[in-house]
Amino acid sequence: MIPLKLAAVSAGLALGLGLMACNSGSGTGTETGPPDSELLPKEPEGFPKIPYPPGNPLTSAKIELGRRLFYDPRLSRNGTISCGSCHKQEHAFTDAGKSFSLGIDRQSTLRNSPSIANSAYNTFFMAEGGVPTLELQAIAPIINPLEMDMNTDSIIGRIDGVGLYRELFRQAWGDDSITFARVTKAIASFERTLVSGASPYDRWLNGDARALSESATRGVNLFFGEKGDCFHCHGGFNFTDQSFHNTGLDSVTTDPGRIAVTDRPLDDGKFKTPSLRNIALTAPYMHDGRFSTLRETLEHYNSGGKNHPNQDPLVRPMGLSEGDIADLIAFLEALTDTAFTTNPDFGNPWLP
Amino acid sequence: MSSSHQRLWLAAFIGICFLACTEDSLVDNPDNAQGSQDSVAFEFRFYPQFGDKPMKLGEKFVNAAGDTTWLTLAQFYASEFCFVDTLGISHASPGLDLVDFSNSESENRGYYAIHTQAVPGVYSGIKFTVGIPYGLNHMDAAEQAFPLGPNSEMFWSWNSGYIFNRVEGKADSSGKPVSFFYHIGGDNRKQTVSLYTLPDPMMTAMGMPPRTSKMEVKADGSGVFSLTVDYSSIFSTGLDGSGPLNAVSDTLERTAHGGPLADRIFLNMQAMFKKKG
Repeated sequence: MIPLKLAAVSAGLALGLGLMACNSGSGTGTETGPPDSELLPKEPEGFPKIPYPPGNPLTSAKIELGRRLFYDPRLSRNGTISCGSCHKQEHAFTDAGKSFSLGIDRQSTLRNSPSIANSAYNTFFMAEGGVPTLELQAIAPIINPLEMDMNTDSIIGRIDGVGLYRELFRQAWGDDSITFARVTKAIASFERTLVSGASPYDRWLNGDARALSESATRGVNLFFGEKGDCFHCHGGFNFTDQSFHNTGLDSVTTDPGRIAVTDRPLDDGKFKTPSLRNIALTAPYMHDGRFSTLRETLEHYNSGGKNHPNQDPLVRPMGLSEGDIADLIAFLEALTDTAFTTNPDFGNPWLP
Repeated sequence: MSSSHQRLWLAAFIGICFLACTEDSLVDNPDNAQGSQDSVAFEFRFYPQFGDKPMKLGEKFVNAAGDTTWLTLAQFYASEFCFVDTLGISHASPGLDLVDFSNSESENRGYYAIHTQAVPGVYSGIKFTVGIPYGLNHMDAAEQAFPLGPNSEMFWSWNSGYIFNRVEGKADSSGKPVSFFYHIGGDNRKQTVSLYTLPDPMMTAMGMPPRTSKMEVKADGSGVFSLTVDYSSIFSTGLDGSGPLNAVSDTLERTAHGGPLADRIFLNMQAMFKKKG
């Protein structure tokens, strides 16, 4: 569990204290003050400090504002869809078994909803990696006609009349000017706190030998060994190399992926390596949700892929036995962080 | 967006714009930026055409592949305007706009107008960019106001930056029209349109009279430069580099956001802009 002392912020609001935030703001969305570090989430052992850009220092007031906005369907055209509609906490902020989420007017989106756990550490956003910051990423679903389909100017008018928001903006920036840039900065701030690193595997890594089953322990060795060879792409504390790979899902590209951003033919059919944390909760898998289970996914890798010209050479027939696959699944299931998926600081604040 | 914020944005934009005339003119002189107190109003008029015929959205034409074609959306950013004098020196002029041929006002009068400023005098022509300066293309869109920003319908939320030239429509050869979507953008697809002619030094050396195109920025501010925007050019060449673009028969030629088709259409667009008349 990450100790996030948002209760203090909420209490301040409830008492109507009209607190001034640590960071004053001029209304331009630019802040200069130091983050209120004592109120911020603490990173799990072995994790780097949560990074944030110079123009958007992490503050508890902004995090609480961002949480409200993240779960607020008023940010969609017809008031039915929030960020949280397709990124559900209990599923590690993915969309509960759907290959493609249903956006506004029940329209199907074009990609599987990715987990936003640990997205603070991402170098790229979106499956093809065309977005460099969480702030810019927050724009995408809001204006996407298949998702929230919202005019960003209309957001201002819609939430400007909500007294709670004026108070939260005042706490976050020192004045109650509501701008879309502040909306995206607040959402990005909340998302940066969604850090997951308290799984059984983490406990095992930190010395609790009983945290993993025998099968999962064998899975660890397969995962990080040359036979399973998963770690080359899914390495590091967040189980991603922050790069792009064609994993041989199709012999002929069905979704261009990374090439749409780079125009490099070698990037055809490549997608960002996702983190594997909480992977047992985030089915279905792949950018298009084509695999319903971890077993199906591992069987794809074990088969060696479908020989796309850009297929990563690491994707090749692996010769994993049924037992090996079961052990790898046991290991992947041990990456589930229930403290993360039940942390009330990450839940919907609008619910009673 | 607050007014102070808008002023900051505008100042940044103008600063970038004034330094932007550096690409293909013979000589550039940033000290000669237009928009000073000596400047007067000047108007650029963009006339949409399909081949040599005036075009409105929804009107049907025949494209290079012989298919009936009509556009449903045609927009592009025009920025980094420069007036090129008879010596080849470029003089930057303020102006960034989203040319939108679905705009009812422009549809009624047959052209889209952009207003800028220039120092009166005789020039050999103009150059401008179809696209926007790099700095603006990579700012936080949430901080930008129209004609930029997330509500412009030109912002690529999945690939942060802007579509520079957006063309959508339908093509039909058998009563079953197919839709096409050509969204051309990315810093490497910023198009410089040069519409000026300078004296050829060889001809001058040979004692032949210099041939320089002329345009006038009138002191009374009534100067106009008219251009045609020929959308038939987009269909001139397809992915194979020989035959025309054919959205009807080739499904790969219906959608461009990047990649080889965007490159091909970007090349086709080089013939899109001409001086009118």
